[in-house]
Order: sequence, then C-alpha cells, then structure tokens
Amino acid sequence: MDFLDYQTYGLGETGANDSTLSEPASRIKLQSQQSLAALEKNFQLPNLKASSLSDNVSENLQDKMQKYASMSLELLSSAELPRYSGSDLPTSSKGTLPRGDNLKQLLQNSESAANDADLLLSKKLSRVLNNNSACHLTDIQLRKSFKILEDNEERLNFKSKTVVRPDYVGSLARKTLRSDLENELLRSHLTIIEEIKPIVRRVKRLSQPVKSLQDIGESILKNTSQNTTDSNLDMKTVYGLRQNIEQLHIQKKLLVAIRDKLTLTQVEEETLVNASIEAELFEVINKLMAIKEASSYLLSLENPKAGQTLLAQINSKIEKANKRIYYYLVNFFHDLHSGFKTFGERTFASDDKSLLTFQRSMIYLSNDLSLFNEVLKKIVKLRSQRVLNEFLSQFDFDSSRGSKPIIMSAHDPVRYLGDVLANVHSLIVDEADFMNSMFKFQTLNIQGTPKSVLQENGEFLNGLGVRLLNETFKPSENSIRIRLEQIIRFEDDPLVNFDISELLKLYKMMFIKYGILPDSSLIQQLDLLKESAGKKILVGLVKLMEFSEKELETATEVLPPDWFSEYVSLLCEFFSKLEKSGSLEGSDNVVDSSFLDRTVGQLVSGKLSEYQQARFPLAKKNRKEKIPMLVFEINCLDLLLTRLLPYRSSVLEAVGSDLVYDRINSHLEQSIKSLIALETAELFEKLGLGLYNSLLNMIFPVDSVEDELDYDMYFPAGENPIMDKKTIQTNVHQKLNNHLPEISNEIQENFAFNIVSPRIADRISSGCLGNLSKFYAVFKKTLEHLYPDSEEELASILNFTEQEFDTLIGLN
Amino acid sequence: MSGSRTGKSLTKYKIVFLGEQGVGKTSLITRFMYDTFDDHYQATIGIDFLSKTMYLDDKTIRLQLWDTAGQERFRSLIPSYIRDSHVAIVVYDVTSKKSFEYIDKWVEDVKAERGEENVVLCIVGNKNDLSDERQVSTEEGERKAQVLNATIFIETSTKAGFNVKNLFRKIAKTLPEFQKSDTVSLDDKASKSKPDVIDITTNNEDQEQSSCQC
Repeated sequence: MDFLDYQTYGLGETGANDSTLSEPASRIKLQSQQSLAALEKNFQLPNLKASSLSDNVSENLQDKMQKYASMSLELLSSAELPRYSGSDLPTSSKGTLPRGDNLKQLLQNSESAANDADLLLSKKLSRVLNNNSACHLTDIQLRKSFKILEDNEERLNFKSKTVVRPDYVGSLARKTLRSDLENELLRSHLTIIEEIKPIVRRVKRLSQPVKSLQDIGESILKNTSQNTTDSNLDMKTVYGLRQNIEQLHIQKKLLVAIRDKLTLTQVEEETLVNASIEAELFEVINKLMAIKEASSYLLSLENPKAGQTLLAQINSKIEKANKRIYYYLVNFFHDLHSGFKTFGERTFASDDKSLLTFQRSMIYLSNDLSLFNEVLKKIVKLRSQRVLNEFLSQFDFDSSRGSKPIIMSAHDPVRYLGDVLANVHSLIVDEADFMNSMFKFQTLNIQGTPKSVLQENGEFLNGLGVRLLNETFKPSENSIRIRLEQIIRFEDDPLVNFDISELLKLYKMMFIKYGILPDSSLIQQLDLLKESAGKKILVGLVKLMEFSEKELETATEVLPPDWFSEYVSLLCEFFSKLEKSGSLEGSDNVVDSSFLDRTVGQLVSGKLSEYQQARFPLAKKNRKEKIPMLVFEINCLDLLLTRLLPYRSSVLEAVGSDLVYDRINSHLEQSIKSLIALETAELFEKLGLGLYNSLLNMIFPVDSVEDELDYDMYFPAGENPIMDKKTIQTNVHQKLNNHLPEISNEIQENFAFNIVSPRIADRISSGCLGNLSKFYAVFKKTLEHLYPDSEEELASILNFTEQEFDTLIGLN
Repeated sequence: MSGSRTGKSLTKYKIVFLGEQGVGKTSLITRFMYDTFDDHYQATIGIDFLSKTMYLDDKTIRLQLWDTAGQERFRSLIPSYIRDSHVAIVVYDVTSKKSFEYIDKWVEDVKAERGEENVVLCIVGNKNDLSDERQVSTEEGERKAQVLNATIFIETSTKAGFNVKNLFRKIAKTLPEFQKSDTVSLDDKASKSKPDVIDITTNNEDQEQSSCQC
C-alpha cells in the first residue's frame, strides 16, 4: 500500500526511514519585513558616479551592474542591522526553516534572494519530488492516488478543504487524517496477517518433511558422488521416464482432441435426448454427421474396430434423433390436420418459424429413408382422407354449405361429369397449393443445414410436393372413377360420348398442369375412361346404321331411307362437333382412318348394299327392278357425298381418310353409268332399235366409230336377216315415229324424275339421249353403206335426219 | 407448441371470372396478382386457377381465382365452377357492345347455379382507357348492373392498372369475413411485411374514383 506521509514534505534532511513523525510547519511569520524596512530607512545606495568605477568607461553595462551590486552588498553588511527576536523566529524543529541569528546568516544560507516562505515551499516541493522515487511513486501513480482520493472524497468522508485550511482546524484535521490513515493501514495489515496465518501454519508443518527431504537428498547426492556408474544408469532412467511423460502428455492432448471431435458433450447428449426440435438439436445432429464422416476415416486404419464402434454409436444416436424428428413431424401433421377439422384450412407464411422447423426436420429425416417414408405415408394418409371426404361431401345434401350438391342428371350427363371433374380439379389445385407451401425446399435457405444433405437429397426433396400430391389422390381414384364410369358405361349417344371424351381430355390436360403426373394412375384412369367413351362413339354410330324389318316393308320410294338420312345427319353433327372441338390433330384423337372406314366406308359397302339387296331382291335378274335400285343408290350416295363435302378438307383430310370420299364418289359414278346404260337400252327397246344396237355393238362398239372407214367394219352385219330393209321397216319405222317426239319427256318423267340431284338427273338424261343420237347416226350411215342404191327407201324408213332426230329428242 | 403449429386462420373464397372471349378476364387477374399487363393476347384453355392470400383488417383470407375461357367450346365447363363460387365477376369490354349484351346470359347462368342471394355478383367494364373506341357508356353499365341486381359495378383498365385493386377491395368488403367490421382498414405495414400476401390498399383511391370517366 502506498502511503503518502504528509509530514515528509516538511522534513529537512531527514531520511525516509525516520520513524519520528514531524509536525506540520507553522505558518511563516513575516516580521522580518519590518526589520528590513528599518534597514531600508538607514541604508543608502552607493553612488556609482563617485566611485572609481566610473573611470573605467570601457566596461559594459553588465559589468557595471555587477559591480554596483557587490558594492551595495558590502555596504549592507557593514551596516548595523537589528537582530531577530527569538519569538519572531520560527520554532526550531528538524526539517523546518533553517535558522540564523541575523539576516546576514539567512542570506548566506540561502542561495535565493527570495523570502524565507518561498525558500520553505521550494524546499518542501523538492523534498516531495525527491522522495517520490524513494516511495516508488511515479507522477502518474501519485496523480492517480489523488484522483482516487478526489473521486471517493464523499465516500471516505475526506474533507479536503478542511485539511488544507491553514488555521488550527486545518492542523487538527491533518492530525486526525494521519491517525485515521494509520488505523486503516493497521487494519489492512491485520487482515493480511490473518490471511497469511494458515499459510504460515502450513509452511511450519511442511518445514519438517522438507528438511528431512533435504537431508535425504543430500545423503543421496553424497552416495551418488561416491558411485558414478550407478548415477549414469539412473539418469538414463530419468530421461526415459521424462520421455514417457512427454509421450503421455502428447497422448493426452491427442485424446482430448479426439474426444472433442468425435464425441458429444454432456450438454449435447442432453439436447439430443430432451431438447425440443429446434436449432440446437439440429446443430447436435450436424455434429453427429460430422463425426460420422470422420469416423469413416477410422475404418481405413489397420484395426478398424475403433471406427466401427464409433460408427455404431453415432448411428444409434442419429437413429434416436431421427426418431425424435419423426415423432415431431407426425405430431405436427396431426395437429395441423385436427386444426383443419376444427377451424378450417390454415396457412403458414413462408417465413413462419414452425414451418421452417418442419421443413428443416424433413430435410434431416430424409437421411433415414425408412422413417422418412413412414412420415410421408402418414402425411399421405391424412391428406388423402381429407381429399376423399371433401370429394364425397360434394354429393351430399347439406344446406349449410351454400352450394348445390352434385346430382346425377338424366338429361345432362355431361354436366354431371363436368361437376365431378371440376370438383376433382378444385381439390387438386387446393392440395397442390398446400403441398407447394409445405414442401417447397428448392428456394429454401436453411441456415446450418449441411450442404451434403441438401445436395444428396435435393432432387428427391424438390419433387416431394408433386409426389405427395399424386400419392394423396391415389385412394380417391376409385371413388372418382366410379362416379365417372357410372355415367360413361350407360351412355350410348355418340355425341354425348364425344363430349365426355373431350371433357376427359381437357381435364387430363388441366390435372397435369397442376401437378398430377402424366403416368399417374389418376391420369391412366381418365385415359381409360376416355378410350371407353371414344369406343362408345363408334359403337353408337354403327348401331344407328341398323334398320328394322318394318322400315324395309313400308319402303316404296327410291329416296334414301329414314335410317340412312338420320345416320348421315348424326355423323355430320358429330363431324361438326369434332371440327369445333379443335382436337382433330393429336395422337389421342378418337377419330382416325379406321373410325371413318367403319362409320362411312362400312355404310356404303356394307349396310347400304345389304339394304338394297333386301329392298330390291330381283334387281340382279330384272332390269326393270335394277333401275330403281340404281336410282336409290345414286340418291343415297349423293346425299352422303353432299353432306360429307364440308368436312372433306377438314375432318376427312385430317385423319387421312379423304380416300373414303373418293371411293364413294367413284361408286356413285359407276352407278350413274350403269343407270345411263340401262336406260339407254330401255329407250332402244322402245324405238325398236334394241336388236340393231346389240348387233352393231357386237361387231364394233358404236361409241368408237369416228371416220368413214369404221363403217366398213359393219359390212358383215348385212348378212344378218334383221338387217333386211323390210324387216327394219317393220321393226323400227313405226316405233320411231310414234315414240321419238315423246322420248325426251319420257326420260325426264320416268327415269330421271326419281333422282334427287338435278345435276345427276340431267347428266343421266343427256347421257341416254346422247347415246341414242350417236347410235341413230351410226345406224343410218351403216345402212347407207350397206345399201348405197336404196337411199330413198332408207330415207323413208329412217325418215328423220340426224339433226331432226337430235332436235326431236331435245339435244340441240 | 401446437398452437404455433396450426398456422394462421384462413378462409377461402372462390371467385369465378366470366365473360366473352377477349374482354380481359385473364388480364384483370394478372394485374391483380402480379401488377403487370401483357399486350400479347393468348386465349385461355379450359379453366385456369390462381390463388392469393390477402391480408386485411387483421384477417387473412385466401382468394381462389378461377379464370374461365371465353371460347364457345369451353362453355360447358363453366357452370360446374360457378356452382360453388362465392363471387362471380362478369367482365365486359366497354369497346364491344356485343360483349356487353352477353352479360345477361352470364348473369342468368350465375343465378341458375347460385340463386339470387348466395353470390356476390360484380359487373366489370374493362378497357376503360380506350375512350375513343368506347361503345358502352358508364351509365349504360350502371343501369344494367342495377337491373341485374349486381352488388358491384365498376369500370377498370387492366392496361393502365386503373380501379383493379379497388375492385378487389370492394369485393372484400362484401365478403362475410369482413361484413362485421364497418370500415375495412387495411394494415399497410402488416401486409407489406408478409411474403406471398397481396396489398390491396390504394393510396389514391379517391383520386382513382374521381378520375373515372363517369
């Protein structure tokens, strides 16, 4: 303890070890001032001019001043000065003012010319400063001490103002301060002694054993000095032991490092077992994973037992942690689910702490696939249960819900299916929304999660929401399928089935858009249902081709039958829908070339000919029966082609079945040609030219006759008795003249009248008359070639020129 | 712990957008959701779905927006979505008289499915910025909305972003969740500080209304 003794500042030449306490210096009495005044009164300064000094002009001012001062001092010393009275002088004491009997003595002792108070102060200060080093107090320490004293002035009850007072009170205070300080010092010394006491006691107790040890040591040293060889051996042992110690130290360090790196602390163990699923636990798991990674290096050692044991321990701890996370996750979802049931759907903000903990837990648990899958199963179970309940609730009558239930409407099955699918769509988007919010790991910045976990399981985790969504809908698939199938199964209308097929196609696209995988069973179910509805379109259409026996019996006209017209109308309506649906292109289109073969090709080549056979059974044998059959056929084919024409470049071309149209068209052409041939033959019969037509055509086709030489081909015909002029007169002349003027009307009325298409009727009419005209011209010319001398006779038999013939039949 | 696990209370409201092809149903949703506008027209195929959490008056609601296709071939799907909707927004184009005339048919569909009382019916005249091409006046729209007993009538411009937030604000006011509170005070800070939450407050609401070309 640094102790500042106030009195030491007042000490004269006393040493620091002076035990006597000096009294504070009394105030300096300045009575000497009075004696100085008296001295001054009788004292006269020497005259500088009068002195010999003035002779020396060359001296400078400094020398002059010095001289003057020495002269004055001489005068002063020679003067009689009054003595200081004893009472005027300060009290004699050590270290106080130096005493002198007179002023001269005072002046001699003091180097300074200042008054004795200044001298005293200066001395005290120098003492203080000189003693600083003795007291080991530097300026800074001293200042610090004063500062402390100043700061704690109030607390220590230190009255600084009183202490520095010059009067008696001040003196008293200074004395009291000293005693106080001494008391304090003593008290602190006592405390120290008290503290040291037990140490001293111990030292005393130990001094005896130490002494004996010392003795033993000395005796050993004596012994060793006697036997040098023994000492060498011992030193080696000592070195060996020291090395051992060092090795043990290193081993200890190593073991401590291993312990820190490869084991958990007690706190961490506790956290692993009891702490809630929060950041702390995840940190411990992180450490466990790091240990696991490190322990794998130990396996590469010669003896992998340590690594194996450590790995087994760590694995068991990780397993425990994973189980805790597993239970947390299961509870989390149960809470969530019961919350949904009680309060309705809940939502989490993306920065919600519990959501982040949940996601982090999912990431950590992804290391244990069996538990992870178990959690997923439980989540899927809860969610799918909710989905199924939601789905089925839409079919219940519940007035509180505010919306109509989905009811099966007999007149609008498409609406029912639409409602069911819209309900499923709603559930899918809801669920996708939920899954996205809960299992969105790709944008997640989870602090402290080991990168390896995210990297290894990242791909798996990122697709988790979609996977769960698909899994969630699996249990509901059957219910959904049943609701849809019960309509599709019993729907026969091909147009409705087409609408259903289109609806299923559209919803398939929308379901996939919101996360249902294209190869999921829900989509597969929709595909199957779509396929079924597609097939039913064809079945429904083909079914409409059927005609009843009754209809066959009542049919009398050559117009297309009702079943045929209705079928074609429905087919066209279907094509129209198909065209509007915009789904002509695409692999999953219900209409393809085989569809058109079945619905259109089969109609012409199958059903229509079947009907014809039933309706005109004698057509093959009887020409008269065949003509109405052909007219019927032409009418039907024409109707079909006319109705299909708008779809030729769209539907038919899109499915690559425009050949069907061409095939029907050529069929129609064939029928028209057949009808023309038949009707022409009928006309020849009527005009009596039938036999001749056959004869000439047998020799050379009449249609092929072009020039004069061709007629030479018919010379052999002259040998036939029917070519006799009289026979011709009998067979032809009368009939020709009777029927020719009416032949045109007859064709129009009897043959072409039943043809619905005026274009085809006209074509048939002009075809027949053209054939007639051509034959008449060839026949007349052939006869002229055969009988060149009977021109007049021939003109009387075939009494119409070619022009007149054409005019009469209405060709011009 | 379980309390924190259950998240925040959430009520879902289904809103279906109806109207002729090209009137701006999708644009209206896009403007509301992302505050953007796409000049390129792309027809909606089938039914589109978008959802958004809306925070207002210390309550969080989830809006499910069902965007229907205006094309004829998708018409048959729409009634199934109106069936359980809380709000039906019938949109017409102020520059197309035909789209305006078809409102009756859409409203008829809504009433057939939901009745008169169970739905908040909104009539929205879109493309309000195309004043030169206007074929339907605001008065006509208002009259029609009155005749059809619509809860809300508003003219919007999805291109200019005019009145879109206001429309959804008005819709929110009519929902049962907010009917109890007289004034819907939208907490700016709360909504802005939350992710995935749309802020439908409009600082210049009055300005927007006064700038309406009524």
